[in-house]
Amino acid sequence: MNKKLRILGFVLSLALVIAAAIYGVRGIIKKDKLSVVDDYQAYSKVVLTEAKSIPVQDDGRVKPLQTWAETLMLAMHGQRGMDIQVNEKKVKITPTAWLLDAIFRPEQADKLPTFRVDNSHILEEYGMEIKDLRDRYSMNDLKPYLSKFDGENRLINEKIKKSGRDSLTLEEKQMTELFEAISIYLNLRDPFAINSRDQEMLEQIGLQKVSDVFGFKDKILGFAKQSPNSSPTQLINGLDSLSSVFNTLARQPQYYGKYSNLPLFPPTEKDNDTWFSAGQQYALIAENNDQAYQNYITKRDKFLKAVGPVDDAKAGEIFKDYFEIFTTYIDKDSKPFPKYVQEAIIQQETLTAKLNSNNETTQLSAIKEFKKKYANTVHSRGEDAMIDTEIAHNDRNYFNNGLAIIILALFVVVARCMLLGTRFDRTFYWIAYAVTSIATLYIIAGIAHRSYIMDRPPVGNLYDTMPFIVAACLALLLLIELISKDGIMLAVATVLGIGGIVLAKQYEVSQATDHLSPLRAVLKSNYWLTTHVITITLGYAGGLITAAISVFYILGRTFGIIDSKAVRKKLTSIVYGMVAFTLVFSLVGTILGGIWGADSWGRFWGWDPKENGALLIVLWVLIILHARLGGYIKEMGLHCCGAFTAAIVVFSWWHVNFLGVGLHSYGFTSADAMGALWTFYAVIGLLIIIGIVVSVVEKESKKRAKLEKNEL
Amino acid sequence: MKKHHTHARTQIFPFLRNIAFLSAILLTVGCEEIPKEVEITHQRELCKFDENEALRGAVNRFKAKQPIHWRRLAETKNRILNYRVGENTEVALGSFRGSVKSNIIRWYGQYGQTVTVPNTTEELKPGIMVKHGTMIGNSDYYLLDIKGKFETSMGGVTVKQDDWSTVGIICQYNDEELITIKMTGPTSETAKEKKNLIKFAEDLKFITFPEDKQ
Amino acid sequence: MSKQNISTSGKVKKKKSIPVLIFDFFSSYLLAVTTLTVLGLLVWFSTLEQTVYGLSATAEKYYHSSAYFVIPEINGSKIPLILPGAYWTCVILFLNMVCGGIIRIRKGIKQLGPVIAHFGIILLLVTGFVDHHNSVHGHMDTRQFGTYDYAWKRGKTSLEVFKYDDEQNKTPPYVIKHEMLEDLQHDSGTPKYRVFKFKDLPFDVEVRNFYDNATIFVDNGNPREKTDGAVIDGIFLRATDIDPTTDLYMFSCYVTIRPHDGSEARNLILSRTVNHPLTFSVEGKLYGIEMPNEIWKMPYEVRLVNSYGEFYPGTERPSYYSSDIIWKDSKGVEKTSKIKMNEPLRYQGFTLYQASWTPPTNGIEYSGFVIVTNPADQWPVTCLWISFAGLIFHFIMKLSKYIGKEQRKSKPADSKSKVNAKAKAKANA
Repeated sequence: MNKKLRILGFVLSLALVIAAAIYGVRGIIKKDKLSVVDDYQAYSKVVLTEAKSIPVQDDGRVKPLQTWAETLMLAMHGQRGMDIQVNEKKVKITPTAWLLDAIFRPEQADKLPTFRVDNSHILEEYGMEIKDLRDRYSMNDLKPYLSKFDGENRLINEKIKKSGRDSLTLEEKQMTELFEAISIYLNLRDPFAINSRDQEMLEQIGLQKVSDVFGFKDKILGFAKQSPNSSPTQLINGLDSLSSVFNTLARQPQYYGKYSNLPLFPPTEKDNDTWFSAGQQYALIAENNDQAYQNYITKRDKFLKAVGPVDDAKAGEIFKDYFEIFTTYIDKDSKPFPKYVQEAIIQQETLTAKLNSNNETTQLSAIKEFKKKYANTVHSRGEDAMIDTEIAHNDRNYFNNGLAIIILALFVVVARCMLLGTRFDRTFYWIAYAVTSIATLYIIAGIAHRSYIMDRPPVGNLYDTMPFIVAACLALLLLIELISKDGIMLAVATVLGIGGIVLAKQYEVSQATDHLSPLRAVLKSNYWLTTHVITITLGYAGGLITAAISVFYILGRTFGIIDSKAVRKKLTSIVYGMVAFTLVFSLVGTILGGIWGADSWGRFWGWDPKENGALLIVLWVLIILHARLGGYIKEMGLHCCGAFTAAIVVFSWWHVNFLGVGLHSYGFTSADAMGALWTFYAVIGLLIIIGIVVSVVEKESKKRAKLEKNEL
Repeated sequence: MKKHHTHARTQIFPFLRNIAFLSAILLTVGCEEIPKEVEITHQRELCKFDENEALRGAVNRFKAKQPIHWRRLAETKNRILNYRVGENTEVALGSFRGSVKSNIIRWYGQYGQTVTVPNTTEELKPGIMVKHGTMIGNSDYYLLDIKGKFETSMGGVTVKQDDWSTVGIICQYNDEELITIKMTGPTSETAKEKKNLIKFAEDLKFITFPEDKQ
Repeated sequence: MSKQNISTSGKVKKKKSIPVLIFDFFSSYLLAVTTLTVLGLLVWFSTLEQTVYGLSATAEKYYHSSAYFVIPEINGSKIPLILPGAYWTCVILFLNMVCGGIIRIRKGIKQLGPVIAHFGIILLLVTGFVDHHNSVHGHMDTRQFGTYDYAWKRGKTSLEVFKYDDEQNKTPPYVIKHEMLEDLQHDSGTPKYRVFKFKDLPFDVEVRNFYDNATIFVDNGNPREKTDGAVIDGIFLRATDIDPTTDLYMFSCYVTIRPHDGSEARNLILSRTVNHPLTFSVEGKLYGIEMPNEIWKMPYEVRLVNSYGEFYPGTERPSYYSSDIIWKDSKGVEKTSKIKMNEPLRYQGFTLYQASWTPPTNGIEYSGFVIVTNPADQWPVTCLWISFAGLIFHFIMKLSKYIGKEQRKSKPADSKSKVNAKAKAKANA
């Protein structure tokens, strides 16, 4: 290979590498000032290892606490993990640690920089002193402004009710996201904390925690029946106070408990699928009891109005009836708390107390006890079968690690470019091949693991398509490389792989939901998920490979890197083959989708956006093939059309989900995503124009050269 | 040597000419118009759709036999059966959870008249309304007849009419449900329609729902 | 077919006959590319237009056989482009595939794959045509213990006019179909109208100002909008935007009843939002008129015994629906069946699908079905296998050829060719 080529290759490759590297490591080199939390008490590793496998139910399935924590943290913080500074040392807070704090040690959690705000200017309006434009804030930072946020939230909700979510300004949308995050965060905390206002009064009668109320009914009745030395008036006043105390205690978690979202407890009934939150169960009963208290007040007031002024003599006369009203409230109208709710609250209170001890042994034993308490129930329901394997999946972080390996492969490819023609050429070639293969296998392992956990085929939602397409692209390109043996496919594979995984990560952060989620009813068919969805996804992969190689061709010809006719012909054959591959899988996948639609919804084809998107891919590849066969497009024409395939695939894969209509509308809308899509289309368009211009220019210069030669 | 048939490349301009020709045919055929007058002969077979309007989303749960000269209009939340008689007289059937008392007070109020109404129909004095007969489910119904200057406001619009009259039928069907049939219009028209209103009320039945037959 | 000379220099081309020219046109690659491109544009434009007008209206505009040409819109604005309708484009494509893909194409083992694949696609197009003309889709919303012998067609309205008998029961209604109404779109200028006459009814019905989607408003004296229709009986129609996510259309129109005896004409507002007939009298008899979705009478009855749905625990996402029904055919024979999501009931030429489910209200269960009759129901499976066989055969053949070529290129000279080279050198010497 000539020197010019090597230099060009080096420069371009270096540019690519630097860009990839900057993006990949920007999380590390970003000047994110560490929040200083000097009095933070970190959990030990062994406590966190025990805690992460606590089973919880969220989004329709039982999962380890770690998964739930990662999803929540991703939603609020934008990352799985945060770093803080504790006594000048950097401490990493894992999602599990963060969630344990949010639930059981809210004072600690409130110091952590939980809330990511992309545009800090929105906080300036409330008089807040902001840090960087894009920064993270703790609950303590935001607490003084919560009431102002409440007011703003109400106004925004009214606006949404009136004119829909699309009518919000960008700032309002950002505020809404922050409010939602704050709401979710506050609803995580243990609702059984006694309000300080009532603490003094309750402690006087020996009540310190909510679970103390469970035996208290009998205590109150006991109190009421005793006191033989008190005068009837004193007794009546005493009864009033007791009823007030009873209600105060019942009221404590009522307000927060209603929204408390801590589904930590499995149901006791075998035919009940829904895990419960102790706070919510408590609140349901407490609400009834509050109503009973109001009824008691009404009855009592009516009774006292009827009897008139009460002196000691009268008190004696009316005491029996008065006591009857009181005991009806306490004993009959107030519902008792079921045993399972009492047990759950006691467990939650114990866990809270022990986790706040900041002693590793106490914390560890508390978590173990908590898990042990419900282990049999969970196990008998078969709901713990995948907990351990899911933790292994989370810890292995397949796709992040796969990305790192692909980046390494790219480095090796670049190094090989610099060593082209030397004796190290083939060695580096095979190292690049091996590293890319390892990355591919690692990603496939991740896909397989997810499939095993969810007991379904590998592609069940939009997120699943991304690693699958990456794996398919890598595998196919490695296969093609085995035949072509020139390293071009390796380079394309690494770039596609990096792009795909980065896209998956961006999507994951933007959605911040658990993608290991159960399928919608209409998708619950492993047969169709295997056949139709995988075939179509392979079609997308084929289209993207076609486009990637064509883009390489266009840029290569533009910058004079691929001068050799043989290389150009080879790339053209490969693209032609990939077009055929895309046709096979897209056509078959589309028809399979129609057959599935006929089975599920009664119609083979409904001109639904997703169906149309798949059809567009089929039509486009057919156009390419027939135009080529008819001689209407030549080599550059084929590659320009190949590059356009990317636009068609992206329209079918992504854009249709943003349209929000049709039976396939499992998607969502996002102005940011639309911006990215239009940028992508513009880039593809630009590349096609470049290709056409290059082709025309080359043709003209060839013509001129021929004319000159003839003249000579 | 093998014969070699090739698929020669089609020339663009003759091709475009043929496309234009084809399009012209399509455009001509496509510009067909439906005539201004059409005779309809197709009649649909009756089916379950026609039996029970409540089962196809109507609010109305009653089977009513209306006088032929009444026109049934679109139902609303408060006017389950909604009729117009002539140009000015309205008849509306409503079903509420409210009380007899509040309805009577409101109707008299529309004529600028204040009445003292007892809490139960049992305590009603003649002059306000009269127990007239029985209707749906063998329930007693009461008739009232109010005349005078009518004024009402709805949706920010005030309607005033002189020499107007309301003939109303109120039936406490059960503890939960109160049925009212209210006819409002010029006194001369309501007087003529009063007996039709009474017959309409007495002929009223409930639609049978499928679970009622179980 | 006359032979064409590849080299045209100096040689006079034989003039082709008309049938040959027509065949050449319909079998050309350029026609294939053109029809595929037109189809692609239609699909793309229709996908974007659905977000404004909803799926049914857009499908009607682009894909119905009555759509000879289409002027696409983006965000409600017309594009200065006229495209042929998709149905007719597919007809041209069908002819092109038969002429070019089956008849004209070279015959041989190399072209076997494409020929088979083309055949599969031609069959798929035929399936599409049969489906388009012969399939009927309807929705059946059922209530527990209720018996249903009809379905309603989504996206299609009808205007029904009927007489009441002496007991004020409905008699079989005359039906004015959607196709007779949809071109009478409301216009603030000169309204388009059509007069409908009926065999034995003593009046005509004049329909004008048809709305694809409108809401009934009470005339409270509030400011009126340009699209507002006339006030009749204190109400008027106002055009409202279709919600493309629900694909439900509240068709509405203005109607005048013109009695033949010259008595006063009666104006009415009809709307899909009203779930009962309006009534009027002519010559002392009572008549009804209403505007339901087109009713499709079934030759059988379906009775919902119970329906069952499950949500994923702690969520409102449905995980499973099923219904138990009793199907009673025209002879009175009953069949009990369980219909589940993804498992429809195929019986007596009809297919019944579990389409939707709502939780019970006041202890009464509900279930929504889609009913389809389509003679081409199972044909796509055959088309799939044929196309797949053709494509995969061709793909593997080409791939093997390519791999073989690449391997030959990269292989070092073998012993046989070395011997040949040596022999050649010796002979030359």
